[in-house]
Amino acid sequence: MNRAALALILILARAQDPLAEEMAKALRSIRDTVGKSVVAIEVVRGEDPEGDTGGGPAAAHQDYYNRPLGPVTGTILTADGFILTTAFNVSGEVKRITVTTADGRKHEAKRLGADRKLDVALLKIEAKDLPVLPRAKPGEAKVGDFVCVVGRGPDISVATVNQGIVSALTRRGGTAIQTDVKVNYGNVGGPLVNLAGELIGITAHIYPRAHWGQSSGVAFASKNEEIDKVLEDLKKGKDIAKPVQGPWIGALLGEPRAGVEGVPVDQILPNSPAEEAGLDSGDVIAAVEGKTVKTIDEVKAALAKKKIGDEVELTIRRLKRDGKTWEEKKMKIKLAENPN
Amino acid sequence: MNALIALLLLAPQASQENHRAVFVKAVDSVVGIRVMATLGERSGSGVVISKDGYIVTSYATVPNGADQIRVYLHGPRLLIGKLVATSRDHELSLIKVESKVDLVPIELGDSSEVKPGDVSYTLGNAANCIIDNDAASLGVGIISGAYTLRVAKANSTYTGPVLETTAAVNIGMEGSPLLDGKGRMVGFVTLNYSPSRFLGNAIPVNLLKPVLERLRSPDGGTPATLPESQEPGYLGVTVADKQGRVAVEAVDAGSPAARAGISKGTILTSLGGASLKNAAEFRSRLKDLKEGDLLFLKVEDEGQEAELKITLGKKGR
Amino acid sequence: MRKITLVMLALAGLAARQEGGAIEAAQKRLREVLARVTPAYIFIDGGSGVCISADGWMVTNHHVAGGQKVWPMRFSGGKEGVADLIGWHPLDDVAVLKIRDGKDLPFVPLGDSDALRVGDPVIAIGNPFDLGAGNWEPTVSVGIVSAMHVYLDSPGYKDAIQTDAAVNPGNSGGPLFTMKGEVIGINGRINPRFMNRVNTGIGYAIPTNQIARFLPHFKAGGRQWGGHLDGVQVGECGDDRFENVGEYGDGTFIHGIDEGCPAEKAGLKEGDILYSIGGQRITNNNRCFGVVGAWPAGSVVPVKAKRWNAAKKAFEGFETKLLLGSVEQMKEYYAQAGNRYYGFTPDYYHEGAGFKVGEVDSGAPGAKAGLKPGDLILEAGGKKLANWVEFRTEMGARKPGDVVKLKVRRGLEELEPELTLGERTLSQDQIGQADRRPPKKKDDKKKKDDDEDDDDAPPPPPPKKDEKPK
Repeated sequence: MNRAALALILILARAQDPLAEEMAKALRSIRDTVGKSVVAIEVVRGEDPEGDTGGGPAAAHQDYYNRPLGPVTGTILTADGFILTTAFNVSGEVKRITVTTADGRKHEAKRLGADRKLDVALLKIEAKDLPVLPRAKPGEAKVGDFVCVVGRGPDISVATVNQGIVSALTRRGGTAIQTDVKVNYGNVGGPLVNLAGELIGITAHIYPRAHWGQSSGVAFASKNEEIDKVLEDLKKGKDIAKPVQGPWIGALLGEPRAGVEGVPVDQILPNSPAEEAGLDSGDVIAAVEGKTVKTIDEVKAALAKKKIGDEVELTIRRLKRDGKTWEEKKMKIKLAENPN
Repeated sequence: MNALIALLLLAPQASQENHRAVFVKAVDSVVGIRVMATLGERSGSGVVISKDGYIVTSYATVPNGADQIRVYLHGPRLLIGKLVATSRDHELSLIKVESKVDLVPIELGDSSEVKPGDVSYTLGNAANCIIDNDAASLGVGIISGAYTLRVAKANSTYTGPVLETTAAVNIGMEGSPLLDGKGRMVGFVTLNYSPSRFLGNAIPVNLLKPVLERLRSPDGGTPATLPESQEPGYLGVTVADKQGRVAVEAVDAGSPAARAGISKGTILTSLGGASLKNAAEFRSRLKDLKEGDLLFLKVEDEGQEAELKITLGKKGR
Repeated sequence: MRKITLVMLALAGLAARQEGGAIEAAQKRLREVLARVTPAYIFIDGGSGVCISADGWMVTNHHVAGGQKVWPMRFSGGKEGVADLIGWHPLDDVAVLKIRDGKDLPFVPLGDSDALRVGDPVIAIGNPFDLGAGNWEPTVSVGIVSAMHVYLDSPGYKDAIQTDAAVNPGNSGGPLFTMKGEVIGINGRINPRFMNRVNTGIGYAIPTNQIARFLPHFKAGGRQWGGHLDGVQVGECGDDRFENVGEYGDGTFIHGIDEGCPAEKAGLKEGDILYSIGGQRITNNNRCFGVVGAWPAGSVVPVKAKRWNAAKKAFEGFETKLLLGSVEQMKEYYAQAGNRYYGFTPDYYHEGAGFKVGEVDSGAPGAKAGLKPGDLILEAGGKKLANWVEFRTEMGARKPGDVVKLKVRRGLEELEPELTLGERTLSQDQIGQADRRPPKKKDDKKKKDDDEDDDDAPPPPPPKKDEKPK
């Protein structure tokens, strides 16, 4: 009896980390099956400030602000060649879109419609019998569930697979699920699937701050059901705009801090009206057109009343060199259209 | 029954024990390094590869000309290191420390056995946690992909096969090891610190083993750039003179030239900044170069000019 | 023989089932612990907090809630409430609040952060980028403990837990849990990259054992101070400018010591190497300041040190007890518990029940009540006192003008004086302003302690590049 037990214990002891081993197998299986429905997308653009990388250390930082060059990911929607990816992935002055399916074949793709609220775009290639992913039941996913994202690139012949959990179920006005899977410029547009390989949604909503590098761990997938609602319009080539955001100055604002009245500026986006006007990160916006502002919403509301092209006077407070006293400054900013 | 009890004791809680086991196994082999370099103070990570004190780190952490190399080991202990050799193509530098006590070298794994989906660990001097706190930082994730980087982008000098991991790679981790589920080094993290890379990339350790062997010269080593390789550099092209220009007649499949996009009909215009007069000149200059050397080649293809950066390989690889 | 085969087959079958179900089991465990802990999560002003008792004590970061006295808050799911700021520690970045009318609230107990090990899986719950505003669904992320006992400057995260769980601006003040559902850390900082305030794989959390040591002081109210080595200048072992100071990693050594400071009273001398403080091994300056600062000022902790014996040409070890903090500073800090003022300080070295009076200010409430140094206060307002911290907490519940009956033992006499609490004259507990350091001794030498930050500066400017997230 004892010898048998000992033998079994030794056999079991060899399965050192059953969870990691099981997970590795499951992930490879997902990569292989789901990967068949994941395509690489290469976009050729005209003059595109978002895609210029240059080279060398200074330009390296430029990379961070601009769209990185390289292939992006898409998900096959139908067997006859409708493909979903993010609106961001095919934005800009697009000249040519080439889709490479998992079998290595290249297809010219036509860009149909895009929904900027969901950040999805519909492409069409000429194909048939393409593999389509089974869908997860709507509402089945729970916070804490293990999920994966499959992507293509930087080497498009290889599929990548990342794993994480569902972080929240209701985001972006209920249109998206949040996950801590590492989603970035390369794999965005790829499918978010559960461990059974069923499609939950399309990863979307990349923005430079959170998704450069290994990614901040905050990622979103637009849900199947939401995409279904706009599919017919996308097929017709409609471009559905994001709900009006108002004119843009290109300054990322932070939460007001104790002891300093006004709204602090966290970051100035390059080539923006704010940058041109000389606004600096660290400045605090005290008034818009003479009217005191105390919250981000108040700033947005004041700007929303204006039109693109209007000049707006901001009263700002800037910390002097001594690090102790604040000086007040007035500056005029010309409102532009939000390029995002 | 005793056996059932033993069975229950072995039930899964094992993952966190495995994380712990990997940490305990590797922590003595991972170091923090701080140096004074020409552009100022730098710090990063390093991996102990021999018990007599050879440590491999990233070229970015200990570049040529680095001085006052301070190596912080788990303990904590502080040793002073000497730069032995560098290999920019692999983004690595080799240093040596003198220690009264044997160091613990990392166990090298086999990167060809690594598969996407496998559990993957990073362990290093994240944000100077080894130097400041004697607390190597462990990250866990998976191998998310294995592919080839064909273009070197800002700050990075490596092109070739890489492993991609979701385990945390961040500032200070350059020069740290990528570990497999058994705590063996299967990759070398140096590339992530280029803003153009999207996920944590590591050079597969199998590519480094021959380089490290070559860099550890038998006499104990003196600071050098790239010590002599015994192998002549291999590019993989056959050239001929065509209408006064050097034209490519044939390209070996899978060769460094093929990977760089050279094909039959490509015209080679200059090598290492100097223009090429004829095919014979090209061949004779290529003969002097060794495996691992970097070739700057200007080419013309269908009227388009391009500058290629190619790492010479070894014939038969 | 057959029995053994049957058993082997049964066990093999069991084993096979075990192996196949690892993912399912892990998924189930995660769902269970989330169901238990998520209700205790608190949304507060774009940041996070966690409820640690059924009657509503909650913890968050000072940079989330230190800015005002009263906060509206919501539990996960949206249930509203109001919380009052009771105690705060700006340099440690901790704030403790009490939810009004708290009864049967969802909470998680503080766990044992010292029992954590590198590699342990952890769960972070928070509100990154304010994504939960509106539907009050917090964000859950998982990772592991990457490193422990990490010392960071400005603000002083003295003994931080480092994790690779995704935490971003908005996670600050929120809980870090073990898989058993105990909160062992409060997330508060990340290590950004290229001026980009998002997670890059390094998050820092304040360990709950540190918060637990301060908790009675927080509950007593007001601003808190951590310990420091008053009157002592330390260097790192291995510093070759000094003799007989050991090798790097041995600890920290004393290279300057003021007359009359607590360290001198504890028997420490110049040249002594401190290698253990408060039960924690000290290996370098960072660890020394980290351990010392993670105790409340006024704590008396065991210290292990060694001294070079020139005759024997060897180090000799010894132990002592050290007061962390300066007595001068403690006088003011000690009296502070909201606005109550009593004008006497404890004898910090007293062991045993009660509060032993140290110094008495002339003309102050204590003197008026007739108290003298050495008096042992056993009861206050009818409550038996275990130590001076309990006395502070008791006084914290009272107002200036209140009369408190004391039970005092003086030698063999038993006395029952009445103490009339006075009005505080110091403004050290003003909320929203940068730290005001308590008055220094006249000839204070420069100390290498992070309590020596620029306390008298005006309110901090809006954060630049590498500052902490909200």
